Amino acid sequence: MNYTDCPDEELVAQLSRQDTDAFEALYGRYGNLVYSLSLRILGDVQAAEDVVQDVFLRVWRKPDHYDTARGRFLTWLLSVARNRAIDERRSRGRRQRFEVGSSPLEGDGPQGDEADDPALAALLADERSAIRRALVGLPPEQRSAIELAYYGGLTQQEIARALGEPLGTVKTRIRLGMQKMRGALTEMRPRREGEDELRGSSGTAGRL
Amino acid sequence: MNCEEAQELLDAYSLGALEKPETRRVEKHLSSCSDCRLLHQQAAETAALLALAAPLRRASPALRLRLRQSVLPRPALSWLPAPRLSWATAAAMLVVVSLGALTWGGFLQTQVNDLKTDSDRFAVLYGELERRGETVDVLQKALTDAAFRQENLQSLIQEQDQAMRVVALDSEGREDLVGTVAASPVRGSYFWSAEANLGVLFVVNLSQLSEDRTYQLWVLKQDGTPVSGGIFRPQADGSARLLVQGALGGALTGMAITVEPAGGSETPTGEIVLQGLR
Repeated sequence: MNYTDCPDEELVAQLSRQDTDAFEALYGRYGNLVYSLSLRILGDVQAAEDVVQDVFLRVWRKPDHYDTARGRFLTWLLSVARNRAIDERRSRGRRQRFEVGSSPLEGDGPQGDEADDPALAALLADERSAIRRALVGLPPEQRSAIELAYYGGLTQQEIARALGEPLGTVKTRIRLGMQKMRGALTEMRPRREGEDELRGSSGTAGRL
Repeated sequence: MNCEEAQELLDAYSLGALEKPETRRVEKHLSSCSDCRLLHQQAAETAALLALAAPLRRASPALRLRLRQSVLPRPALSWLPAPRLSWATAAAMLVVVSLGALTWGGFLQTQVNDLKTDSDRFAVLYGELERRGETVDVLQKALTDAAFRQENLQSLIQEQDQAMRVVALDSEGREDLVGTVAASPVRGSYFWSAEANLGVLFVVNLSQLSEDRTYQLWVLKQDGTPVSGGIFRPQADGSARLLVQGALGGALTGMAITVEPAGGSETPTGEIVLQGLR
């Protein structure tokens, strides 16, 4: 079986047969993504590694928790990881305050470790650059509301309290911001239709 | 909650930004409305992709290793006692169940799961510690060996230098030695330098000795008393080299090499295998 070119969904199906190679292939594709996300949310290497371990072991033990009918595996994996990291963040009592824009998101150039690592930089490069462009293109107040919710794990009420803004304003910012994001991302889609890369999500990712 | 209300909240719901009561109301609506479920899927996809905006970092290779170890098949933990139910326990459990305390089962399951996770974690940690410990031991030993060998080599080179110097530059005298047994191939030469206050003995074709024996060089003084020039063992090829502090050259009247117990003797006790020509 060729694991490098195998679509995510097939690899996940292999997990129920205790296929450790399929597991390693999935980790090879998305381990760094899940780690980067956890690190961004938790700001602590050890805690982020624990989350990665938890998330992947959960995938290994309960591969049937992923339902192909509900979208791509990557999306599911990232939301599992995000929720797990947010839980961890909450259990730490929110001692660390989430810094809006604490990551250098001021463009779509390389950030983090990818500057000196071509394999890392190639990982879902198009999608990452699109999402970054979309975020940077938002009015700052919409972007920070979305970031506080997604990376900081705050509810709309908590955001309103933290920013000293009316709840309605925060709700509107989140809705408008997310609408714009969706628009920007679907604009990118027609260009790539037929490339089979977006759906399969294995071609470029497999290079890591 | 109708569709319009639900759709207003879908983005915030996908970001996990709703309060609990709102979350429940949205979920209730989604469970019964396929149109809104589809819209939610789109919103959820957009929200999940926000993860890709996080700066990319490389996870440590140790993490991959830990995960690999966790999923590799491992022999079952045999120290866990097999669960056995006595009638009394079964009856007690029946009571618990009949009390409707099904949550107890959930609690137990959680405990079991936690234990399982912990034991998995410990197994991984333990394996890693053990491996690291072993690696450190091996490295430590290799390092000590290397340091020891280097020290040894250095002193050998120093000796060699001194010997060469005596032979090539300062040599004032030379005494040849031959084997005492007829047709013995053993031969040797002793060079000395008063200036360097050093003598050098070279011998070839020596027989190997058992562990408890050693060769010893003797120098006969004017009055005939033998003075030890040092002990030595031959190399694998039967050759030997011995540095003798104090030269002893000018004063000697004769030389001999005997086989002595390991560590050498105060006066010669063993057979003479080599002696001076003089």
